[in-house]
Amino acid sequence: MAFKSKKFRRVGRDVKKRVKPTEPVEYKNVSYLASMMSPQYRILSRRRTGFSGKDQRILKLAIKRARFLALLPYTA
Amino acid sequence: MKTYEAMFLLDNREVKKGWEPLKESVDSILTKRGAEIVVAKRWDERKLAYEIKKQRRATYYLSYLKADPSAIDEIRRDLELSVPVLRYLILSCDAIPEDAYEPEREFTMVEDDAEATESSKEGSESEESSKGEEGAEATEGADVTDTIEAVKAAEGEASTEVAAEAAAPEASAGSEPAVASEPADVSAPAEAEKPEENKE
Repeated sequence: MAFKSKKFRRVGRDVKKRVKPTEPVEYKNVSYLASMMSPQYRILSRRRTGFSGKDQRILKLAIKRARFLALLPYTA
Repeated sequence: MKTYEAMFLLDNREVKKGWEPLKESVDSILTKRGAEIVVAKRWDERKLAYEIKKQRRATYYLSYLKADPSAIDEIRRDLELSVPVLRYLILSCDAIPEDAYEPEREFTMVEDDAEATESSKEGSESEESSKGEEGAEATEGADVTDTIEAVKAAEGEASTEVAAEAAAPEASAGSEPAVASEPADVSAPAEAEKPEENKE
């Protein structure tokens, strides 16, 4: 992790393609939701997920529901 | 009548007393208010991400029901007063998913809960170790998204790297302010920047 290759460099504003969720985004799909979170279990930004605004909203809601049911932690 | 999806978090101490009676008692809270249960099954038994009412583990019970919207408020009130229900989530849903009709899997209660309450030290240790594993999973996931981003950004990056290399012979310090002026929203790529510059 310490050494990241050159391709991880990010300069300025990069325009990326939108990514669609590959799995159903709902609170029961815990492993997928966890993959959309940082190691500290923070929700990844749209920039990191590449989701559209609509998909990101759905993701946000699903993660928050999973947190409420103790499927995911609020913090770690 | 509307269709609802309801997930209940049930106290494992109550589950140990017997699954079927507990299931019936939860179902009766719903049916008492005129709800019609379409399917209901045990979803999972797992360790909680955080303790709820001193419980480290709990059983998840998922049910799909048809009920009048006015009945839901009453059901909510009853669930709040119910002892075995640690938490519940009632959502309206358009259609009942196919996999909801799959039969309930056989399960045996893990005696981990007893250990957790008896010796809290051991419980916390095991929790930490498993947290580490979960963290590792999450980082893997993050790496995947990183690589996706990287691949997509690769073309755009190539041109900027050429520019950076051109600037490097003139003054190695010259490229650093440019890096610093970037919005440092993600720490990891910024860290990756440093070893590279040393090479140059």
